[in-house]
Amino acid sequence: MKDVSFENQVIKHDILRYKKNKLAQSLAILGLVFNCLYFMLLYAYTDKYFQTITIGFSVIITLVILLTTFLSSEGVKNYNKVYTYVLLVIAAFQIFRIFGYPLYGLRNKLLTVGYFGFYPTPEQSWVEFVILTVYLCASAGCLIAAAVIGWIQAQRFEKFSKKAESGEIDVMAAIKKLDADEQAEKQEAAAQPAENNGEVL
Amino acid sequence: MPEVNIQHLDKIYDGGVQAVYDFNLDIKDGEFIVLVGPSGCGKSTTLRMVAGLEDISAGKLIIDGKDCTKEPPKNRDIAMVFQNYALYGHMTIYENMAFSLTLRKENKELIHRKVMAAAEILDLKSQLNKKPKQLSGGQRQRVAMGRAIVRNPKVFLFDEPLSNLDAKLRGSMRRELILLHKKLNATIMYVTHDQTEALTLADRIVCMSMGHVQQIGLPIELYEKPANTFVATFIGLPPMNMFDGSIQNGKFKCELFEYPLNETQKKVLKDYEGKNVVLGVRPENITRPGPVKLHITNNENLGMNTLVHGKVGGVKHVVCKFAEWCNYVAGDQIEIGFDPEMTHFFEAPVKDEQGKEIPGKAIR
Repeated sequence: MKDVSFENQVIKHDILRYKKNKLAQSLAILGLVFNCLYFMLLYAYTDKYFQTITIGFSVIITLVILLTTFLSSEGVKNYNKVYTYVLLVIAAFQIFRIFGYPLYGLRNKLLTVGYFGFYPTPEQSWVEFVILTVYLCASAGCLIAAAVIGWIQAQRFEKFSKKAESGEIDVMAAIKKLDADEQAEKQEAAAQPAENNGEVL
Repeated sequence: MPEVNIQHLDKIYDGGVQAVYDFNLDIKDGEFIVLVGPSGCGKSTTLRMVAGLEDISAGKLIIDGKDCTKEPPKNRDIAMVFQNYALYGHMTIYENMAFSLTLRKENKELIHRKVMAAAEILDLKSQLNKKPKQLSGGQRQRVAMGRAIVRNPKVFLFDEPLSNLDAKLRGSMRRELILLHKKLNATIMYVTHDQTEALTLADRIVCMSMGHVQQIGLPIELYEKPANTFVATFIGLPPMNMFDGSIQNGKFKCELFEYPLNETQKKVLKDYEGKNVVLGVRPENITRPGPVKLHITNNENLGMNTLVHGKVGGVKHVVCKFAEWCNYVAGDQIEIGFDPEMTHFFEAPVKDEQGKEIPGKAIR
């Protein structure tokens, strides 16, 4: 037998049809922001190593990541499961990037650009390595969270849509049932004081 | 019971211009009241005072037993639908309809239930994920109504909601409004300058002119028993034909013709012997033949009936509505009379000290 909680569940799921997954989208965008913070610092390094043709590739990769992340954020917003996998791949790549320029810079003590009034010596290269790592990890973390939330919601949405389309679930019936229950509760509550008055009398 | 009592309402703007004079109206629960009148007659101002969008200069407004004269709009529990829809273009239809409840921080499930119920009533379920610009004018107006319905207010206020729609859509929306009113059994105040809307929608009509209420009554009362010359000419399409004249020796005499009165009319007009009066007759109450000669200027066949335009005495424009297909041509002359049962007499309009014309009262 269906209970009231079943109707509530129906309503909760039906909301997904009209509300976008803004949480997953926002997390993906936040991941993109951390990525920006990462490359803003990275491209400030003027050492010979950074100023080679490889920096061009790095810029292209960064642009691809920015665009793909933005596209995926729109995808997860609309409960598209495919984009959750894309976000996971980008997150893995962000982690992988730690072992590229940042690690090389740390090993060769090259991370010495001034950063918000802080001018590290070559021995203090580890400070900016930590900052770059934090940015990349934060970006990856946000993208993973966006992907997980996006996938769960997309799964729920998919299942519910199938049931609603097949007629297994009738949303309007659930709404009417809840309205009727609420109405009955109100009437009961309104009748209560009168009954109490009767007892007193 | 959400009743609305409007007592001696005045609106005087800062410059001293008075837009509404002594407006009195008691609206019953579930009643559909239509305020009708020409542009600038004060109907929208009255509605805006009820909504709380305009300050009330004098008088009292009571909604559901609570004095709301000084209450801010949010405390009046009313919902208003505007002519220009006032939808948020960047939001979906669902979000537009849910907006007021979201502002109130209602829980999501309750909001969803109310939005879906309103969308079901208004047949908007398939449009909920669209943006307003993707909808037609009629659909947008339905969204605006939906936004009002979800709030479940005590009173609905409509400010010329159908004016932006084309004639065909306006007709279908009118029918939808009637059905909606029956479904919701809501108390509605509706402003329009379109008398067809007023006659078809209203339980009672308030006819206004120059800030004054001219008549309050059932649509049929305003049509068949207009209180004065203004109501007589404003309600009805084409408008009532009016002839200025006087009563002399049991006849209505004007410069253009003489019209004999029957016994009932003589009785009603016995105190007006020698005085100026106005004779009014609706185009559909003009009969053939009769004592008045009409020179036809134009013949409009509308299918079910024909509007015949002509001049009496070469100056006075008269419109007749005959329930048949007529083939008159300009220059033809016919003889017309007035259905004595449906002929109206009014006192002659007078001017007040400011030079404004005061409509002549009906003589009954």
